[in-house]
This record gives sequence, C-alpha cells and structure tokens, in this order.
Amino acid sequence: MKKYIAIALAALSLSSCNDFIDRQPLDFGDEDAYFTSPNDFALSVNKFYEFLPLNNDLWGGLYSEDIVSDNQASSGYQNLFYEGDKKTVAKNVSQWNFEKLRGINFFINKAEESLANGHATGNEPDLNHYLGEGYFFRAYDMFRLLTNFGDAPILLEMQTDNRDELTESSKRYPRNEVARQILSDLDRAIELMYDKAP
Amino acid sequence: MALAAAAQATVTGTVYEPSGDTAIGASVYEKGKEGTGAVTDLDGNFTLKVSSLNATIVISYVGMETQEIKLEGRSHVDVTLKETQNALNELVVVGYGTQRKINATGAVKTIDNEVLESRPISNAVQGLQGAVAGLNITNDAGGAPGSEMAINIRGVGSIGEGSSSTPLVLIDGMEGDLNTLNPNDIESISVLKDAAAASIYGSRAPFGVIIVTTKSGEVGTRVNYTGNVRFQTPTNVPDPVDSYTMALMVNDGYINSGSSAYFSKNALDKILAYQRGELEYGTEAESDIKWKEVFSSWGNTNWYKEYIKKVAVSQEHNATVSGGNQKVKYYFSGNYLDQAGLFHHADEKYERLALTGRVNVKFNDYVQFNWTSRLISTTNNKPSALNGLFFHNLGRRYATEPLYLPNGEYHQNSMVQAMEDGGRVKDQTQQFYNQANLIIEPIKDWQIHVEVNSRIEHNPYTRQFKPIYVTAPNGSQQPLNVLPGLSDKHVINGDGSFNVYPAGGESYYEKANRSINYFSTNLYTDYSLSIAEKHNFKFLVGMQTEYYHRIIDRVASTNIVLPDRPFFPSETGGESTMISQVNGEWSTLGVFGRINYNFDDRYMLEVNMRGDGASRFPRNQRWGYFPSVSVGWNIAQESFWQPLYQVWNYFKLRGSYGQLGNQNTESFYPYFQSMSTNAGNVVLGGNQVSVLPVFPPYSTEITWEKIENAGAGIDFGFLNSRLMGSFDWYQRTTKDMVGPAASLPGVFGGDAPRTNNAELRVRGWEFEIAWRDRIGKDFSYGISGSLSDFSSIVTRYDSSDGQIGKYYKNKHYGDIWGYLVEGIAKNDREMADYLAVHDQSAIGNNWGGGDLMYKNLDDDPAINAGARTLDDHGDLTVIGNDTPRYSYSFTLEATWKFIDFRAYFQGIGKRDYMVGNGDINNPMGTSTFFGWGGNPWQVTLFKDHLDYFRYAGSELGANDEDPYFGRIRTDGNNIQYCDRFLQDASYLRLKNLTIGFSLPESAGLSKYVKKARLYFSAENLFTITKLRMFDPEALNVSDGIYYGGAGKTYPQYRTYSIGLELTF
Repeated sequence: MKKYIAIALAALSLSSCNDFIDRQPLDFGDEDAYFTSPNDFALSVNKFYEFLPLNNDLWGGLYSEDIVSDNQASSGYQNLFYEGDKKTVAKNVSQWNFEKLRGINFFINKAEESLANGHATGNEPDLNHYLGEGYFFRAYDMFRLLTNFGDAPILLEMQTDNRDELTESSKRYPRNEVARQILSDLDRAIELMYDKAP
Repeated sequence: MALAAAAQATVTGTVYEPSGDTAIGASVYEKGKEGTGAVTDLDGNFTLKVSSLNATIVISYVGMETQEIKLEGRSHVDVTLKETQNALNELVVVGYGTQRKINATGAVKTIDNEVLESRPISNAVQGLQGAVAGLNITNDAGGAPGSEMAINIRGVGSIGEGSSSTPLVLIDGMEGDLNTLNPNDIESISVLKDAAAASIYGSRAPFGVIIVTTKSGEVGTRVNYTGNVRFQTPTNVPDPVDSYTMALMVNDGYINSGSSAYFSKNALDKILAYQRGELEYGTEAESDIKWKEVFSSWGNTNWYKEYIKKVAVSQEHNATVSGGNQKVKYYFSGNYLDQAGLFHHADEKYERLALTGRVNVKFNDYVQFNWTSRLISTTNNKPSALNGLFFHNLGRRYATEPLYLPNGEYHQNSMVQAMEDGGRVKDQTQQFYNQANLIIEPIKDWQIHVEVNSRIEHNPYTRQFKPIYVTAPNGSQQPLNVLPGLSDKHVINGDGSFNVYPAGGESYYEKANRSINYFSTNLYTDYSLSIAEKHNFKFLVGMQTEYYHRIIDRVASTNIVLPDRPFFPSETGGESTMISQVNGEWSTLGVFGRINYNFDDRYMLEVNMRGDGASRFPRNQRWGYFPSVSVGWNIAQESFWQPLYQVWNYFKLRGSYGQLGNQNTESFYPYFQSMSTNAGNVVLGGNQVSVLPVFPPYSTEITWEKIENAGAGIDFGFLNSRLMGSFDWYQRTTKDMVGPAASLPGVFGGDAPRTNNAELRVRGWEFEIAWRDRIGKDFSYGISGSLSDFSSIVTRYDSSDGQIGKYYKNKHYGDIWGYLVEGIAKNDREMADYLAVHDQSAIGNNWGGGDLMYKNLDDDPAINAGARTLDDHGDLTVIGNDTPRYSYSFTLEATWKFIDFRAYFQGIGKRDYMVGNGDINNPMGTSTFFGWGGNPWQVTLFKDHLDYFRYAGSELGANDEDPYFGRIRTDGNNIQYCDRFLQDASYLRLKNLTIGFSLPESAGLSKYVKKARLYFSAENLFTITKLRMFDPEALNVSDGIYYGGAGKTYPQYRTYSIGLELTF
C-alpha cells in the first residue's frame, strides 16, 4: 500500500513539476487567441488600411503622384514617355517587397480556416465582409506589383522559411495571369462585402 | 556526597592571543556543556564553574584554533591561543557549501569585506572594481547617483540577441541585487569563475556566480556605528572657450568648409564690448516674441561652470547591533545613504535606506533555524530634463548665449527653467527579502538544508513635464520645451515604456508601477564520509525551484490640470492618455548533485551534475543537463616535496571542464508566436482604430545557448603562506547564440527568423599574488596585486552582408575600423598635389591646406570606405580594438600600532578608443573631441580644441608647425575614424586611499568604547592616462547619432571623506 502511495505521490509531483515550468504568455496572444469574432477580423484588416496612399510626405505626397502623367511636371524628366528603357524592369527597386502580402495572405488563409472549422463565431455575413476586405487588399498589393514589374510572382499563402520553396515562389508569372488573379480576388471581394462597412 | 551536582568547583584563568595581547570576549566552557559558559573580560580573565577539577574546558575565539585543556586538578590556567592555519584552512564559499581552500579545484576566489570597509562608495559593486581578477566591472555612464555599473566575469559572454551574459548574484543563497545591498552588511564575497564551480547552479549561472555572504551574529554583544561624510568633486569637466574665441573658431569652421564667415566684424566687436563690460546685457529682442539667441547674441557664458558644482556633500550612516549566546544569535543593522548630485539648479536627491534583521536559533545539537529579513528602499529624484539630451545640449550651448535676459529672467536656451521648474522624475525601489533556513543534522556529518526565499520588489516611478515659460520682449509668456530641440512625440515603445518629447507648454504626468515577485526554494542534503582517514568523500544532492513574476502598469496623461499637484483626471476614452501593460513570468526547476573526493588532501576530484527545466524553452527542449568535472593535485603535500616544504608550502595544480546552458533570454517567452494589438496609423469613421498586425517571423526551434568552459590553474604559497598567489588560464566558448540568419529571398516577406547559429570564444588568463607579514608586535603589512587579460573572437556568425560594424565570423570583438592618415597638408598646393593622385571626394569637398590626407590602401584611386563590408572595405583597416585589456590592480596596506593605511590602485593596461558617434553606417568623430561633429549644428568648442591647423596671420595665432587637429570645419572632412586620432584609453587610477586612527586600548575610554576609529578616505584620487580630455571611465559609447559619447555623460567624480567607527 505504501508503495502505491509513493508512486502516486511521485506521479503527482512529476505532473505538477511539469505544470510548474510550463508558463503561458500573460500579455500577448497568438493566432489561436484571435480570429474568433468579427471584431478580431476587423482588427486584422484595419492594419491593411495603412497600405493605402498616405499624404504625409514633405515632398508633395499624394499631390505629386500625377508626375507619371502629362498632367504634371516635376524638375526631372519622366522616362515613361521616351522610347527604350521603360520596356525592361528595373533591378533592385524597393518595390520588390512582399511584407504586406505576407500579412494579407496570412489573414485570408487564417480567416477562411476559422470560418470553415467554426473557430470564428458570430454573424457570418459580418465575418465574410472583413474577409472580403482582405481579398480587396490582396488585389490592391498585387496591382502594385503588376504596375511595377509586369510579370510578377503570385503568392496566395504565407511563405515558410524553406529556401527551396521560396525560390520556387519567386518565379514570375506572365502579367495576364497576374491580372486574372487580381480580377478574381476583386470578384470574390465584391461577393463577400457589404455595400457599407458594419 | 559524590552525587553529580551541577557545579562543584571554580576555575579561573587568563587567555592570551599569540601576539601576547589578552583575548577579550573569548568563549570558555566545560566540554559538553556549551550552553553554560563564560566569556573573558577586558583583561582576558575568566571565571568558570565546572563540575570537577578534573574536567576539560574548551576555549574558542574568532580566528584562533579552539583549544581543549584538561584541568587535571588545576584551578587556575593561563592559555595562549594559536592562530588557525589561516591561509590553507581558510574556507572558500562554493555553491551550496564551503570547501577548505586547500581542497578547492574550481576557479573560485573568496575575499572578505576588507575591500569594502571604510570606503566612501555608493554601492557594493563600485567597491568591487578591480578586487578580483576576472571580475570586470565597468562604468560607462559617469557618476550619476543611482547609476549601475556593468559586471561580467571573464569578458562578455554572449552576443546573442536578446540574451544576457551577466553573472548570477546570490545574496545568502538567493538571487538579489548587489547595487542596493548595504555594503556594511557583507561578510565575504566569493566569485565562481568557471563552469566547474558554477555548474551546480546550472542554467542561471553560465557566466559565473557572485556569492555574497552577509554578516551574522556572534557570541557576545556588540554595538557598532560607522558613518562618514563625503565631499565629491567632478573630474574632467570640459573647459569651454570664451565667446570671442568661440566666434573666431566658428568663423574658421565655416570658412574652411567653403562658406563665408558667420560672425561679421560688427558682431565680433559687440562680443568684445560685452566682455569688457561695456554692454549691460548679452542679448536683445529679435522680434516681439523672441530674444536673440545662438550666434545672434553676444553674451559670454561658461555653461559647464554654471551647471556643475565644485563640491557636493554626501553622507552615510550605519549602525549594527549583534550578539547572542550559544543558542541564539542575532544581527540587526540599519544604513542610510544620502548621495548628492553634481549639478546646480537640479536639486538631485538619491537616498538609500536599508534595514536587516537576522536571527539564528540552535534548538539542539540537531536542528538549527535561521531567519533573515532585509528591507531596502532607494529613491532617485531628479529633474526630468536631466537626461542624455541635457548632457548633449550642455556642450552645445554657445558661449555667446547669455545666462540672463534683459528682463532678469533666465535666457530661453539656458535650460534653467526646464531643470528647476520643468517637472521631476522620481524612481523608487523597494525591495523586501525574506529567507528562512532550516538545517537538520540527524547524525554527524550529514546535513539536510531546507531553504525558502522570497523577494518582493515594488518600483513606483513617476515622471512629469510641467509647462514652463519665458517672458518675451512684448511681455507675453512664450512656452518653452522641457526637452529642447525635439518636436513633440508620444509613442509607446515595444517594451511598454513611453517615449515622450513634450510640446512646449504641455502638462504631462506619467506613472509606472512595477511589481516583482520572486520565490525560490532550495532543498539539499550533504554527507561527508571518511574512510581509513585517507579517502574523504562528500556527497551533495538537491533540488531547487524558482518562480519569477513581473508586471508593469504604465499610465500617462497630457491633461494634467494642476501641475503642482499632479494626479490623473478621471476620464474615459481620453485622447490625452497613454496606457500600457507588460506582464510575464518564468519558472525553473533544477536538480543537482556533486561528489567530492580527495585522497589524503593530495589528489582531488569533483564531479557536478545539474539538470534544469526552464519555462522559457519549448516543451521538447525544456530540459538541459550540465555536467562538469575538476581535478586537483596538491603537490606540496607529497612526501617527495618535504625538503621544499619549509619554503614552498603550497603548490596545487588544477584543471576543470564543464558545460552550462543559458536560459537568461530577455523575453520570457522567446519561442511563442506573438500577436497583439496596437494603435494603428489609420482613422476609420473618425476614430483612430487598433490594428492587429501579423506576427513577426519566429523560430520554433529556439533553444538554449550552451557554454563550454575549460581551464587550468596553479595555486601556490611560500614561506608559511606569507606569499600566496594563483594563475589561471581559461577558454570559454558560447555556442548556439541567437543570431540573425542569412537573408531569405524577398518573397518571404520578412526577416529570416533568428536561430541559434552564432558562436563566441573567449580566451584569457588571470594572475594574483599577495604578501602578508608582521614585523614585531606592532607592525603588519601586505602587498597584493592582480593582472588579467582576455580576448574574444566571434567564431561563427551568419552575416549575410558582412558589414564591418556588425558581427561577422572571425571578428575580434571590439575591433575599430578606420583610415590611416598620411599627414596634414601644409598648404593648398600640397593638398592639390595629393588630390590629383587620390580622390577624397567620397569623404568631403573643399579640401585645402591644413586638412587631412588619408592613405590609399587599395587599388582604387578614390579614398572611401567601400561598402563597409568585409569584402569591400575600401581604404579602411583595423586600427585598434576597444576591449579593455590587461586589467590590473594592486593594494598596499599596513597597520602600525593604532594607525592603519591602505592604498588601492586599479587600471587598464591597454585600450584603444575612438571618440566617435558609434554610428555603424556613418561613423565620425564627436563634437566633444573635435569641436565640430560633422554638421553645423553639432558644435562644442573647448580649449582643448584650439590645437588645430591655422595659417600664420590667423587671429588666434599661427599653428601650422605641428597641430594635432586638422583645420576646424563644419563638415566631416577632418574628423573621420583614423589612426591619428585613435586614443590610448589605458589608465592607472588610485582608486582608494584610506588612513585610519584607532583609539589605543590603553586609553581611559576603553571602559565605554571597545573600539573607536577615525578615518580619512578618498576615492579616485588621481589618474594617470594618455587619454585626452576625458575620464577613461566616462567614455560612454554612443547609442545613437548625437546622444551619449565621451564628454556627454554625467561627470565622474573624486571623493574625499572623513568617517568615524565606534564599537561598544
């Protein structure tokens, strides 16, 4: 009998030992803590609004965007209006940047998954609305890639850090396929979104 | 008649010390009857009742061998005590126990509190500087009250991101804060330097342990008071030039850079007129709302003199009551420190109050119980404006700005309003330590220890910015910025702290409450066993748990209506509030064991093993196992050594190897995915909304850093241990440090997650030697010294870009890169000839005579820094290394009759230093060293800067023969990192000089006062260094582009003190 008590005590102490050194974060969550309600979706999408054009630039900002057309001229020349260089894509430009897409793709995939497995609860049309906004932003960022590079990679998921997979994903698709993807995302957005935000 | 009565006889006697003095307070008792004993009086006499005159009495006394005397019928005995074999039987404190020094095989150094006694220091860490070879204590922030110094053992241990390499500090077995501990409570300090010694503490102590043992009560009541008054004077205060010289230098600077003179002839005349006293004020109205300032005014102010005091007075008082008998011993102490600051207008206050109570109860021969409580409270109260920005601005305040305005107020740029009325920062620490300790000894040599420790800390912190104004020429009140020159910003940093630059006239108040709750238990048992008197074993087995919880709540508001009585207004959803909270906890569980074996005190072996589970690591890597082994051989105890023994009585060889893990990451949850909301930069529907960004890329594979330690040492002693010393050699490799991974293709959308892919190796040695002797009865003296050195190499690091300012494989930690200088061009022609061959346009333009000619080291005719990478570093080369090398210290002490003397020197043998801005991408000298810091707004002109190239005919005098600096310029042409301006920051400093006078025992007062001592003590008395201008311990490496840097920190200071010590 004493033996069983000893073993029970040992087992108890072992499991409580493991409990003792298992600590969960107290001031931040992870993806499973969020994505449960329309408000959580809205919080994620709010971040994407920061990708829209800002007008806080000391050097003209939004008001100098027309430089690329013939409506406005700045102090240099626009190489878009001359024969030659504009047919090749510049190298090393800062626009080869996929950070926004990483966040957008994570949201879209996580939101779809949460809707499918019931992790997200709440008014379904509301949830869909925010998911739709997500699609809109993906289309918006891919549009940026299209206008800068023509042929561009199409990323529909958040990428892992596997170098081989990343090399594969860096492949540029023909620009009509990119455009097709943009249109399909926009169609999906139209399908899901309300006319006015809730 | 022969019934065993309690006491049948009386024995008397006198006890003498080996020197012939009487032993006062020696304990005398009948053997077996420890509870009923006597104590020798002031003449060494005792009277003891014994059961019979055939009994045995025992005499024990601190520092002496306990003696047993068989009475054999005598009723009067005189006893002369013998000193214990101090040096070799001395106990060294190791993890969870003690060892005799002769048996210690790890690299451990124990020092007693002599190094801290009577010194006018603010905290124990300051006092330990240079005291133990291998214990590096550096100060880069000058002498601000309450500032903490950086400690490391044997060099920086880790460059892993987010991990710390400071040693574990244990106060009586529990982790504590050495910066706030009352230095007078310290009995001894033991430094465990290598893995063999530290591995018993496992993953909390990979970079060494500092074990502090505090004082306990002893038999016989003692009341002690020590107090001192200190006078502090700042060292190396910069000496700025006067307004006229400054104007000429400014003109030179602009002209030399290709612009025109800044001050016109009229302006210069006005400056001179003011200096002669012809003008009453140094400024006038520029517009209705502004007074002239900067270079438009014509005052003559020495800002350093205005702000820095000549002398500041501080004081410290310490009182202890201790005593007890064989059953109960107690120790109580109280300490108060009031440290003054060195700045006028600032009214700085730093106070520390420390109370300690300790009681040891011996219930019977088997059970003992100790209780210790410690309460420490520190307060640091200073202006909110007294920060890094202030020191940066102090040098930049132009001499031409007057202190006063014509209307009698302080000038708007004087910063006086900000210091006196701009609001204060109050930072308090309240620490409450409680420890309970039960020691059970069921049979002899088997002890069971149960220890429960708790530390509770509260840190209330408040900061206020009050609205301050200056009266404009038209009489209106113009708001001033408490932090001048910065536009307003209210941002919450990632760690929850607030980064606030208030707007002019803003009323801001911030409060942070930090609570720390630390709780640990130790349960261990040890057993000593001796077989055949030759084989000595000691076994130790135990476990330890630790729990730590820290929560910081911060609130701030810009809507403080009553600035003189700040409190938070009740409001909901206010736009003027900032809130944050940081909350986290960690825990560890460890099991450990140790086996010590020695054969006849000649051959020693020690094996340690520790297993640790830490909450900071992922479930599948939670446990780490850390073994270590050390061996030793006492050659001097061998029989073949006998002939040498008289002269050379101690010679031990030892070696050790161990592995430890480091769980001290900055984040308590390094492997968790982190998502949380923050305020977004977007307004939707009229409200600023919160956003939930995607988590940053993280690695689920993050694991422990592993530290491997190997070392060997020799301990020796000559002439009956009068000459003692040791030499250690060691290598420490830190593996699996978290470093940046090679970058991934852009489609990843983020930085590659950091992994454990970096490695650092440190190699070094330490040498210590000490000589102690007495001449006759009255004179004893000692000389001791230590020397140590180490060098670190980054052996593995994934530096995708090879940037020379960051870490990379094979980088010697601390390397300084710069140009080599050909010389200073004597005239424009020489410069033009040089530029024809070497193009210096990457560095600057408008070159001429008096400017620097940089050497061309590569094939390219252009002189530049290339891409600042290892593969392409242009004309840069390694010009030096700023790791402090060859740290040394030596102490001279002597006691003669009633006078004691101690001089303690400390220094660094070799250190290169480039007084620069520390900017990796665009390094340049700072304005405090050169006068100008690379652009027209960074100018601090000191008299030391006058040694720059000037042609004959210059108003400040010709200086074209052999100037130190090139021409003074507003740009960076002549202030690049280069070998010409590399400084030698090595130094020798007389750290402490103490002379004390003790009241001789024969004086009449000895009835009331057992000991009285008056002492004079000085810290940082003088320094020998080749470093120009600055104090070698105030060389703060800049953390940004403008802030910090040598000459821009709180000044270091010299202290003179007079103190009194009384024991009743």
